[in-house]
Amino acid sequence: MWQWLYKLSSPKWFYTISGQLMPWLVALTTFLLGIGLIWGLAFTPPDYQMGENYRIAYIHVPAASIAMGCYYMMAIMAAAFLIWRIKMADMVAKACAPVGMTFTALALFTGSVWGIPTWGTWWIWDARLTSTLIMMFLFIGVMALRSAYDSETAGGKACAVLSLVGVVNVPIIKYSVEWWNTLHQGASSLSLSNTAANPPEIWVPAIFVGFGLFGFYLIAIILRTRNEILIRERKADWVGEVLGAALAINKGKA
Amino acid sequence: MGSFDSFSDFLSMGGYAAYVWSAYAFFVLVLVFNILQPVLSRKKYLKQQLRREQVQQERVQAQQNRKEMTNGSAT
Repeated sequence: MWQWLYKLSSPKWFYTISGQLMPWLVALTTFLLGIGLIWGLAFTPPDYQMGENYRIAYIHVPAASIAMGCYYMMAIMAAAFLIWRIKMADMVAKACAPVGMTFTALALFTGSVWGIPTWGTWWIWDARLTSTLIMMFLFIGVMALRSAYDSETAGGKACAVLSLVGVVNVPIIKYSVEWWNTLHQGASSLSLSNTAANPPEIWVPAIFVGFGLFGFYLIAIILRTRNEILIRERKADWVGEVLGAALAINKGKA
Repeated sequence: MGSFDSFSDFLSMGGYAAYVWSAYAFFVLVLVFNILQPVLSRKKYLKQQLRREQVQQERVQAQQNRKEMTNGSAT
């Protein structure tokens, strides 16, 4: 596995492997998201208190957890870039910021919309909501910081430091509902028993959407990282070949 | 269909249509943005590279033409 990771740290390997992986990932993601969403939207029974409105959970929960996972990924890549100077890690970290930002925005938006009829408010300065908002600002801050640098390496280092400082916020989001008595509910337990609050007919579609959305997240990161590779490594011979082939196709179309 | 009696029932989401569907609309927006943006920026980059290549080719061609012309006038 270490060897595989080591190979992935070469831009050429990453580009080739991700290119081969992409069709499978797209197929699997479409399948999981398709099944999960149709199931969750139309086939699971309504909640006895929230009625049909709880169906927002099928996107709210995975969006929030993937956003947090994305922050961890950005921080790990930042550390790898600072410690081992792996260029590839910085490229992935750069891809994480906009993707994580949109997933955090999705979690906040779906939460707000859910909150209007359930809590009676779309926003409250509750510990979880506030710390999640801070995470969105951190993603935006990382993007802004990078764009402020002309040098790719200097910008990457500054972003890596900010990403690592901000990582302290992620466990705060996770445990906020346990540490403080706030409005946001804690994690619901999943149970195989049919009489539990969350029986399988409720959470099995959530598993589908969760893995599907995770697949989508990987696709989004890979697409951005591949672009970044083509730009930063444009002087490498193999990129010249890749660009040449892509340009030939474009010429054919024109 | 499924847990609903009819399609219009499904659309009305038990009175929560505005909340459920706006949440799902934002979800679709996020999906579309995260695919479209990198795909479009890749296209833009390729177009840039194509133009750069063409400019370079034209420059080489112009240089060759000039050389031929000066050679021609010398003989």
